[in-house]
Amino acid sequence: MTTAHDTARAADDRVRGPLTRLAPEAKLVGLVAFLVVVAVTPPSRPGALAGQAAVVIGVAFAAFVTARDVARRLAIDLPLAVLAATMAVAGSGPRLHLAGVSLSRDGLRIGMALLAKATIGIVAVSAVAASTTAPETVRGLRRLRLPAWACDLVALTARQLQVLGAELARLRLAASVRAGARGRRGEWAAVARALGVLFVRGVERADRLHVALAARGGPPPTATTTAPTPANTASWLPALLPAAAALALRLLV
Amino acid sequence: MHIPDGWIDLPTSVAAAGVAAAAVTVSARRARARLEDKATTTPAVVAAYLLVAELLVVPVGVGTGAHLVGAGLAAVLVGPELAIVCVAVVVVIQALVLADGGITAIGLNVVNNGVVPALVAWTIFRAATTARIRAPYAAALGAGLATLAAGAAAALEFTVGGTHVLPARAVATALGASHLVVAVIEGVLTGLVVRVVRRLRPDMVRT
Repeated sequence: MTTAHDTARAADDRVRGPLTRLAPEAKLVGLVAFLVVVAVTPPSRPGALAGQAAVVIGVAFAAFVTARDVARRLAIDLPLAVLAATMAVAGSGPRLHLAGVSLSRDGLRIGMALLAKATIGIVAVSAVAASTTAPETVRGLRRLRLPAWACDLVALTARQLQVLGAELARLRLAASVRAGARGRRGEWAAVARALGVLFVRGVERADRLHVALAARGGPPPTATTTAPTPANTASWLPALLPAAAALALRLLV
Repeated sequence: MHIPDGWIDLPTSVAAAGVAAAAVTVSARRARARLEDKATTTPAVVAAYLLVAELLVVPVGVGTGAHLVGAGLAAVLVGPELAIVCVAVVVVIQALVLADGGITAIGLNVVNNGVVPALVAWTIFRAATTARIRAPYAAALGAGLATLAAGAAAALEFTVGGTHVLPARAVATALGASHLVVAVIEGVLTGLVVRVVRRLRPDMVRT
């Protein structure tokens, strides 16, 4: 069974970098501010986008993000690369010829900008995720005045994610031992069975969880009461630095 | 697939975020009234379930696979209010932790993947079961049409706030065609899952 130990270990495993010490709410605001600036940087400013990419790469180095961390998330970039290619080939406006292929200039520019923004986002999220544990994130959300019930919900979801993930691994193991599924139809039926069983077990677990919480006299004091001292300028200044740099690039380059 | 940052312009994204926030707030209030003190445990498990369900891939064609999106299934099994709240949690976790979907597009993705499909799936499911269609088939129909509605919402957002480098009609066609395929997969999977759940725990399928 997955136990609370897994969570504790996960919290200890991360590399201690400068980003680990920053308050989670400052990191979250810094992340969102940075990505909003990147999102509103027009594709007609490739220099600014390149500078913002350099900023995020610097932050990723400071956070000791591993290449594996980024690579795992970069899979999301693949469909966007296809989209960018489609825009370049099928876009409207003046054409330009590159290595014998006729491309739309606007399509190429906007497609590349889109891909660059998505990649910057992936690296930025990786940096924050690598340096922030789930409980810290929840605490940050709570300090940002997200309603307490929503914070509890996010916290419990993160916990249940591990539990259900382990349950799914067991279901898969059992299915592979039975090795009953043959052919595409069989595989669909096997996936549907796993999903159905997982749902039933999950909801039954939720009911037990509720009984256990009620027996202890209500939900545990989570995000709302255990939040330590709020972030001071020592956290806010460095956390907002990338966003400020991105804004300067957006305005000046 | 989720909308990334920079694909839809900021005014449209902000408007969608407003719609999403309002829908989630109303849904959460209604869900809490219905669940009473189970208001955190059940949605947390359902949200985690939706995230984990994406790991199970069914084979579709040569080398490609598909996974359950789940808003329709959640709407059928736990009701549309709870489904909307759960999908919102899922979208926020995906954007903030997995970098799947843009941060500025969180509102758009909550509308497309949660609000629209949950309401459509639930409405169709209710109508179909009242017309004495059996629950798995009703759920399949609801989830399939919900996926098409989600595609239509994405196409609408693109027309309002997209980058106009590709002709809008071409984008609408591409979105429609891809969502048609996904709708069939989503419908079949949802129907199969509802059949399994009904066999194990008939009381869990609300008809």
